[in-house]
Amino acid sequence: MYGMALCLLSIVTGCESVECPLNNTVYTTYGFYVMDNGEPTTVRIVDTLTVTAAGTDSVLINRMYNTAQMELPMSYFSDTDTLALKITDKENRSTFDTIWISKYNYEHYESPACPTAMFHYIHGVRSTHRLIDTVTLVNPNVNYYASENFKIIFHAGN
Amino acid sequence: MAQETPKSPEQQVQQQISQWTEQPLPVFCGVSVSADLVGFAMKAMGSDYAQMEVACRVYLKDKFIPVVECGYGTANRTGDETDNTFKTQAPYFRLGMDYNFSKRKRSGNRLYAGVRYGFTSFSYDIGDPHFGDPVWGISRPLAMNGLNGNAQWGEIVFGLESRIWKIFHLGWSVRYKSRFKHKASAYGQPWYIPGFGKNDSSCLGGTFNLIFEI
Repeated sequence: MYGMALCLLSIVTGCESVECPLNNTVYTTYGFYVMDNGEPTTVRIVDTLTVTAAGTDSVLINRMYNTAQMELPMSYFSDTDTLALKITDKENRSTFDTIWISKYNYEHYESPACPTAMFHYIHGVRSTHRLIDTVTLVNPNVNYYASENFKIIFHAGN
Repeated sequence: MAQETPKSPEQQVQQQISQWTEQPLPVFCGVSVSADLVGFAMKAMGSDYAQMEVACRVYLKDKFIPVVECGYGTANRTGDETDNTFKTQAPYFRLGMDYNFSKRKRSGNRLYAGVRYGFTSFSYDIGDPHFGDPVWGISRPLAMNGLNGNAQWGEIVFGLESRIWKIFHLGWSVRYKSRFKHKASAYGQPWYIPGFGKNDSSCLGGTFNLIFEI
C-alpha cells in the first residue's frame, strides 16, 4: 500500500508543464488611416515604407508596401523611442516623418523556465507632419495581449 | 428454569470484544500529531522546492476529525534553459475537517476524505542574469528581491492511515488543490506558492505521514 502511495506521490508532485509564450518580444501595433467625412478610415500604404529607430542600427521595417498596419518593437530601457518613417514613392522620392513615443518600461518575469519580457505603458506620442496628420494613442498597454496601440492618420490626398 | 450453557474462554473473549465494540464512542477519542515525510525527503534530496509540515488532529467520535496543518515552504529554482532564478521561503497554514469512513472505528485504521482551506503570505526574489534588449542591443541583468505575494486556496483530500505499533501510525493522502485568490507583483508571478505548490489555478499534491496518536 505504501509503495503504491509513494509512486503516486512522486507522480503528482513531480510533473511540471512549462507553457512559455512562443515569442517574448512584445510589439506595438500601428494602424494607417485617413480622415473621410470626419471619421478615420483604414488606408493601405502603396508606397514603400522603411522604419528605423534612434539608438539602433537595426532597420525595424524594410521597404514594406501595400499594408494597412505595422508592428514595431519598443526599446527596453529608454523612456522615449524615436522612430523615423521613410516613405518612398514610385518616382523614388522619399518623404520623412518622425514619431516620438514616451513610455514606462516594466519587466515581466514569467517563470524560471521562460525568458523575461519587457512590457510598456505608453503615456505620450507626438510626430512631425509632412505626411502624418496626427498620431492617436488608442491602447497604452504593450504586452502579450496585442491590439492596435496607435492610429496614424495621414493627410488626405498623399 | 433454563440453565445457561457454560462458555469457552474463546467465546468469553469474543463476547467481551463485541460488547466493547458495541459501546458508543466518546465524543473525544484522542489527538494526534503528524509530520509529512515527503517534504523532508524532498528537502534532503535537494529538490527545487519542498514544504515541511506538521499537523494536529482531534478525533471526535473517531468520525469527525478537525485538522490544523502548518508548514514552511521553500523554493530555490534556476531554469535550465534560461538561468532565470526564483527564491522564496515562508510559512503557510491550513484548516480543515476529515470524515472517517472506516466502519471499524476502534481499529486505529482510517479511510477518510476531507477539505482544507489554506493561506500564506510570502515574499519572493526573481532574477534573469542575461536580460537584455535584443533590438537595441543593451543588456541589464534583472534582480528583484522582496516582491510580495499572498494566496488562498482550497483542497479536497482523500487518505488512508493504519496503526503500525502502539501509538505509531503511517498514512498517506492525495489532494486536489484549487487556488481561490492570489496576489503577486506586477513584475512577475511567483513560480511556487508555499503550501500550495507550483503556481497554477489548480494542482495535485500529496503527503506521506508519520503519525503519533495519543
